[in-house]
Order: sequence, then C-alpha cells, then structure tokens
Amino acid sequence: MTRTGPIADPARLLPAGGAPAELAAHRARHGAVPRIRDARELVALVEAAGLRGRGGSGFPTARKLAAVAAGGRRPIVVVNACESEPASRKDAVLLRHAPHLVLDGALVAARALRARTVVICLHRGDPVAAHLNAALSQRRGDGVDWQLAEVPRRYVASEASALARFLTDGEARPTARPPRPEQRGVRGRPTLIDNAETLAQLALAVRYGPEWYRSVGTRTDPGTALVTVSGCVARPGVYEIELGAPLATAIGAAGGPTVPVGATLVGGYGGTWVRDPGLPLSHDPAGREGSTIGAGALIAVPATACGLVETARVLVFLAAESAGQCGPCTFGLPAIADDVARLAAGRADDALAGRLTRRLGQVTGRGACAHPTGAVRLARSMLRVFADDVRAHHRGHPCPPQPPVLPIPAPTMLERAWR
Amino acid sequence: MALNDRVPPNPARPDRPRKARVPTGPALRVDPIGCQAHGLCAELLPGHVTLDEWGYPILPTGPVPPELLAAARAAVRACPTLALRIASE
Repeated sequence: MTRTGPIADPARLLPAGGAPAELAAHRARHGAVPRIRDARELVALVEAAGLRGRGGSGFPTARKLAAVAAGGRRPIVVVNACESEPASRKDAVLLRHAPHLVLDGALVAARALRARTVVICLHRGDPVAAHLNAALSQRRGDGVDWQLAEVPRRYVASEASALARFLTDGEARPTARPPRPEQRGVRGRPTLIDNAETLAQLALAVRYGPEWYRSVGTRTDPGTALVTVSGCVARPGVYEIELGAPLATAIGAAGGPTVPVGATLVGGYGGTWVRDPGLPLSHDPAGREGSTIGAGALIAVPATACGLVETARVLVFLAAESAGQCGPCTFGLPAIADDVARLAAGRADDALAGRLTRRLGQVTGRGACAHPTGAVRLARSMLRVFADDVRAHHRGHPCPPQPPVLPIPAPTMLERAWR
Repeated sequence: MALNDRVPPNPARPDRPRKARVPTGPALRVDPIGCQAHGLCAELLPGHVTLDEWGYPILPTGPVPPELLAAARAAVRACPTLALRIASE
C-alpha cells in the first residue's frame, strides 16, 4: 500500500506552506487512518521503515512495539509531549501545527496493540493543552479513550519510567529497571511510551510505506527529524532536517550564525559540545565526542562566551533536577557541578583535576535512569572540546564575564514538585 | 597536571556502560534507588565491591568469581534495604 504522497522532501511533518492543523484539511492531505491488522503487521512495517525514537535515545520503535505486544495484558499507549529539554520546542510546534499526525500515529499503535486508552502527557500549564483539546474534540469516533495528563515541570519527570509511575501512583520520578514500562508500566500494564514526534513519524511511515520512509535519511537512521535551533542564529526556531545532514545544514536552516560560533551544544543538556559544522546529525554516535542528535536541541554558542561557565550553569541545573533517589546522582551531580563551577571561575585547587576525573568516572551509568550519565557526558565533552580554555582556567585565568547563552528554567517550586 | 589530559578521547560513546564481557555467570546487581549506602556489601566482599566517596557500592560488571559466590550470597542476605541481588546472566 505504498503511496507517494504530495509531500515535499525533506520536510514531511512541517512542510513548506504549513501543515494541516484542522482535521478536514489533514484528512484531505493524508487520507483516513491506515488500517493495520494487528501488532505483528505494525511491527513489521515500522521495522522495515527503520523508525527510531525521537525523544532522545533513538531506540528502535519496532522493538518497543514488539515488547509491548508480547506483554499479555491489554496495553496502554502514552504520548510523551512533555519536552523537558529547556532548549527544545519541537513537540510543542508539532502539536500546534500538525496535531492530527501525532494523534493518528497514537491511534494506529493503539489499534494494533488493542489498547483502549491513549494518554497524552504534557507539562502542567502547557498552553498546547488548549490546542490539543480542540483537536481531540474533533475525534470522537476514534474508538479509543483519549486522555490528557499534566505532568510536573521537572527535567526527569518525563523520563519513560517516571511517566509510567506518575500515571500509576502520581509520583513523577523514575523507577528502577527491570521491569521496563513496555513489560510493566501504567497500573502494571504493558505500556508503549513514545515521544510525540515518533508517533507522527510512525503515522507517515505506515501511511506512505517503508520504502518512501527510507528515501531520505541514513541507512541506520532513516527519515527526517525536527530540530530546535537556538543561540546565536538569525532565525531561532524548529526546523525539519534529513537525518544524517551536517550540523551546518541545521544552523543554515535557522538563518546561519549572527556572530562567530565557538561551539554548538548538540542533543540537549545531556548532550555534547561540537565544533565541527560537518558533524552528521543522527541517532548514531558521530564525531570525536560520539555526538547524537538526541531530542534535536541545538544551541549555537558565540565564540566570545565561556564554554566552562555555560557548562557549569547547566550542570548546576541538572544537579538540582535530580530526583534525589540514587546516591551517585543525588550526591555526585552537585559535587561535579561544584568542581566545574570552581574551574570556570578560575578557582581550581590542586586536587580538583583528579577529583573531578574520578567523580565523572564514578557517577556515569549508576542511576536508575540516564540523568547522571547525561550530565557526565556533557561535562566530559566540555573538558575535551574546550581543552585550551580548561588549561587557562585551571591556571587561574577565567574568561571575562559574558551574558548567559544557554537557557535555564526558573527554579521549580519544591513543594509537591514530583506530584 | 592538565585536567583535560586525563579524559580519554573516545569516539565510541564513552559514557555507555560496556556490554557484558565474554565470561558470563551470576553477577551482583544493585537497585540504585533502593540502596541507602549501608556499605555491608563492601565489607563482606572486600576487593570485589568498593564504595564511592558517598558510600554507595561500585560493582564489577563481570560475574562473581566462584570462590566469592558464598560471600556474595551472604552480602545479598545482609543488605538492609534488599537492594542487592545476584542476577544470572
């Protein structure tokens, strides 16, 4: 049933001229929701398309679907649209401009998995909720129970196991694995938790077929991806790129740099610093830092800014955003943030280098979720990419003060912050 | 001492834990949320389990050597928060 749609390359989710936000226009463009017999057929289609999760990890979506389908009990489908990355806006833009593409993808998955409930998760107070409710009111005949859930605005609250726990007992903190949410998630049921863009991509892959889907992107990471480009670019915003395209293409889509770029933070706050504009953007690790596109947040930082100060600010934020459950994260992230802040300020003591190196090695991989590992990845990439600055700061020569570049959300209210 | 000299350059995603090595067998695993840093595991398995600066156990990724299995089982039983277990690979 492969059909070549009237879709321009490479923009698929957000085509030039605008995506159809209204249901009638959406149906006129993409047709009815494709009928999939069962989970097996969907897994085969998605596997053939090579779709990988757009929430950050790039996990093969077919494998997740298959794990949920193998669960035995009736599954639940969760659309993760929380978008906790402070510099990411892609899911908000997608849900504003093409909500029905996301909902179609969730519906296809729910029908194939025989799920009756689809829960769409947004951050509490997200203005997108109003748009989503309007879109849902047009879809009463879908045969599933559409629900909206508002999740606390915390960085790790939208991690998959944290969402499953939140929807079960109201506490939005990650849980230890196993079991994974695919095996035992919301109220003990097998739970498919996919990023909003992943489901929109799934809708397109199923509608137009794996061959069409693979006609752009790389062999191991086909298709397009939404990126949020910010920092010192002429037109910050959300753009759609072909996976595997160089970083320069994404920066160029945003109008190019306004001042000389020192480095770009690729993949969000658990990502890596990158200087090479030729770095291919995909979920496969590339370049000296093993960079991946993550959830598509790209922040170009001016050459005049201090990479150490910027990194230290983010590490302080990440430390404060620990769920406080695992010791190495609870105690390690503040300690690492403090070391990097001292270094950035040119106040390193003689023991700092050895201490920080040891702490980075001891914290990575030791949380129930990937939060501490992401923080360590960012810190290590700073040490390598800004190696010359690190040496100067270590000798007690900090950079002159500059206005901050990377956005840090306002401190969250601590009371009941996880519920 | 130059700080950055001590960070190994590694293009292959240095932060991802290595996959299980060739020799397989029962290995110690800790539930990082359940662990409250009582440290009995390190006391019962000196050399095999070490503690980080905050008192939380660092476990070898490989299997428990056969001669330490009895002590490993004792450590699992002794863990006050039941966070330690032996997983068969």
